[in-house]
Formats: sequence, C-alpha cells, structure tokens
Amino acid sequence: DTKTVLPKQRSWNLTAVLGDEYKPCVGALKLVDSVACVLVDKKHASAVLKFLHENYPFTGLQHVKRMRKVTTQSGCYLQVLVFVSARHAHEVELVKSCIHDNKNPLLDLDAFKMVKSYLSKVEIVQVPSAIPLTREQFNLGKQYWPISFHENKSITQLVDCSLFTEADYRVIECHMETAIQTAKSANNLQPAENVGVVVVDSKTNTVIATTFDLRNIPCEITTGVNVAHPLNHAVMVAIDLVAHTQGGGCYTYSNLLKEKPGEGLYFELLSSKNTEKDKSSYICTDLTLYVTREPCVMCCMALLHSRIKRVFYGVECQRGGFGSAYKLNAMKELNHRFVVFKGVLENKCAKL
Amino acid sequence: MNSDVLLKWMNEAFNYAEDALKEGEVPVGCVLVYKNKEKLSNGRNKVNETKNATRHAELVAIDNAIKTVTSDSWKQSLPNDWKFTDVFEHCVMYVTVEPCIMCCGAMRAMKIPLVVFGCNNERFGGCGSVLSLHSNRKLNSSLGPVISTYGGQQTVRAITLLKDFYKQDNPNTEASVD
Ligand SMILES: [Zn+2]
Ligand SMILES: [Zn+2]
Repeated sequence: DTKTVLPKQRSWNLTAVLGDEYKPCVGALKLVDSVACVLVDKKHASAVLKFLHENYPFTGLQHVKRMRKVTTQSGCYLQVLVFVSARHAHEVELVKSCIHDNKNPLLDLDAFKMVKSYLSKVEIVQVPSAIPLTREQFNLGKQYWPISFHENKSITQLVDCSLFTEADYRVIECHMETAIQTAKSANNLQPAENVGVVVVDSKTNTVIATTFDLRNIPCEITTGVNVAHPLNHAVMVAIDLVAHTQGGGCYTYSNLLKEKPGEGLYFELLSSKNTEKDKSSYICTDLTLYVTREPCVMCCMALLHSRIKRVFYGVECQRGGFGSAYKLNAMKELNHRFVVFKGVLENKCAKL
Repeated sequence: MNSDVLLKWMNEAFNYAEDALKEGEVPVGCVLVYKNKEKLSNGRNKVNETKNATRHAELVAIDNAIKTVTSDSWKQSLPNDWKFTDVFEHCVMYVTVEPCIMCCGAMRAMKIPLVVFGCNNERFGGCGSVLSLHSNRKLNSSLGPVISTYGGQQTVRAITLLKDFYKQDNPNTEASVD
C-alpha cells in the first residue's frame, strides 16, 4: 500500500497511508478462477472474440484482456478467456466439476455451436478481477493474465509522494518542528506521553493551534478539577482549541494558554476568516494536522468526526488508527476519507 | 443483570437523549452507573453547542463522572489504595445508541467493562457495526481491556428519536449520528 521515495538531503521519507485496495499484493488483485480455451487456429480469433463479447461480456472487468499468447518450446498459440467467475460463476463451477476429462460441458450447448470447433484444451486460469490502481498492482496482475492499466495521476502522486515539491517538504518539516517543540515545552510538567500537535490552515499555511499531550498532567481544563484526565490526548485537546478559534470549545484553558504557537497550548484568536466560516462546514474542514506520533483510534475517529483535511505524523504507534491498528482515514464504510502521511522527521519524533 | 435495573437506567439515558433533541443536538443520551446502583453521571450530545465534534454523550458523561468521583464526599468513600480512575472499572455505560469508534476507544482507555446500548450505529459504530473495536484483543495492552456489549435495548425508541432529529432542518449536524 505504500512506497517510499528517498529524497535528497533529507533524513526522512514520506509515506502515504492508503487503503488496502492500493496494496501491491495478490489479495488486492482479487484473483478469481476462470475458464480459458486454446484457439485451434488463430484465423478464428476475431470470430471467437466477437461471439464471446456478445454472449459473455465482462461487464465491470474491462481491464481483463480476452486473449493471450502463450509461448512454449514447441511454438506459440493463442488462449481465450471464456468465463470469469466474477461474472460467470455458475459456468466456471460447471467446467471445474468435469475438467478432468478435458471437456468443457458448456461448449456442447447450442449457444456455442458457432465457435465450438474453434476451441480446444480447456484450462482453469487465475485472473485479477480488481482493476489495477497502481503500476505495481498492474505489474503483479499481468503475471497471471494480461490486463490493461490506465494510470491515475493523482493516485500515483500519492503512492510515490511526488505531489509534494521541495518547498512543500520544507513547509511540512517546519510544522513538524513546531509540533516537536510543542511536545518539548511540556517537559517541566513531566508529561510521560510526549506528543505534540500543530493545526494549520491548509490555505494560508498559518498555525492556528498547538498543544502537547495532557493525559498525565494534572490540570483543570476539562472538568474544573485538578486531575490528570486519561482522555486528554494531544489530538483531543487540539480539536477543542480549534473549536475555540471559531467561538466554540468546551475546555477552560486559563493560565495554560501561551501567546505563541510552539510554546505549549495555543490557539489563534478569533479571526474574521473564521467567523465567516460557512455554516455547513465542519470545524476542521480545510485544516491540516501535524502530530509527532500516530494518534490512537479514539483520536483518529475524533479527527474524522471533525472532518480534518489532511494529517502528517512522525512515528507509528501500535494502537494507532492511521495505519497501525486500523486505517480509519481510508475506510469505505466511513463517511469521510482523507489522506494521512507518515514519516515526517521520524527519528526526531521517535526520540521524544 | 436484573432487567428492571436495566430498564431503569436505559430509561434515564433516553431522558437525556430527549433533552439533546430539544436542544437541537443529535439525540443520544447516556448514564454511567457505578456497581449497578449508583449513577455517577449522565451525558448527552453537545456537538453543536460547543462546536467540538468530540462532545458525544459518552465523553460528556465520562467528564461529568470525573467531577463526581473527585469530589470530597466520594474520595472519602473510596478504598484508600484507589485512584479516581479505578472507579470506572466498576461501571456500566448505558447509552441509547451504539457508541461510535471514538467513544468505544475512550471507554476502553477508561477501562469501562460493559456497555448497554439501544440501536446500532450503522455509520460510526465501534461495537460491531462498522468496527469491532470493543472486542479487539490485540489492543489490550496498548488501548485498554476489551468491553462487553449488550445491544438492542429499546431499539425502536432510539431510532425514532434519531429520525425525529433528521426530519428537522439541521444542516450542520447531518453527518454526526452519534
Ligand atoms: Zn489518542
Ligand atoms: Zn461517539
């Protein structure tokens, strides 16, 4: 699902956390059993293909080629795909049940009268039923049966992270440096979980909130009681800080608030841009979040509820919801999908 | 569990869900009950009021519970060697809709052992509908213990409340069932 590009003069690599459907593995290809026959004479090729296209079309399997050339020591021959179980499951099962006689029972049907004598040697082959999304999937899939590939530029750019320019990389690194600095600003409070978060307006690239992790730090922000709240993860606090920039929020930060981003808990004071915010948009629409460590499942879902636009994180975490335990950003079942990139200043983040 | 007790707490949870509906919030309500006899706290959705999409009933109830158990009278009644967080390991969450993935993660982090709920949450449910986060044993050491669930309580009532909400004009909350 991921590919890493080693940039020059940079100590870290960016990797997109993509859904399993992008994985360059056999599972993503969805190989299915199919029935192929040898073409007795290649001069019948067009007649056979016409017959199959009309009578047994591969609706939704346009990437699968209907014919392949097989080269052996004694020469070469053409093989045509008659049925694919993803479309003609019943037919494939029937053929499989009596293939030991080297007979394809379906060819005895009236429907096949026209082409029957053109086909011989029935065989079960495996065919990738999933349209290849990446070049790697294409290269893997065509080893099973010939398929076609239409490259989607935006997917390729995600897979190899080529959508970022060197200037973008510098911006990403700068924001992650602020997140690291924010995490370190909690050191005198003995945070135990050293995590920093920076929330950035994607359009202007300005920092609108920063925070560290407060789960082990006694404070009154959430409940008014001076206790370490186990759910005050950095991301949860960050979301509330963002709500404050829009005139909402439910925590009371008082003396924990700092005046500059990176010094600790910070949020940008209500700006005209925010008050004008479209009422139908969610609080994190158009915002990018930088976090030194992969957020836990709770925090990932909180970001999804807030409709975050994009997330960059440094190091992976076992209970993380953006690639490790789950990939909440890429689940078809959920109503908001967004891109997550990992690996930003990975070593530095890991040392926190 | 005694079904009368269950019904009593679920009814309370529904009262808070109805409160939420009156306030223009997604109608989900919950109560957090200690040792099946004492209500620690209640909660209802406050997402619109706070503009904070994490203010689901369950998280509101957990915050309220922390206020309760750290009060002087409560602290005195607890065993000496208990931290305030230990109380949650003896609690049941009663909630009108299956907790979402976020709230399920929060309850595991709080070590709440059991959640009783009304209808399924087909869009965000973390207790079986979208993910089975409640029972994922691989996360025991990193996230917290698994949660037992007991769903399907007064399902129709829970769904009716949600339908009432979506019938109203609520563009801002269209996508936050829970
Ligand atoms: Zn978290
Ligand atoms: Zn929830």
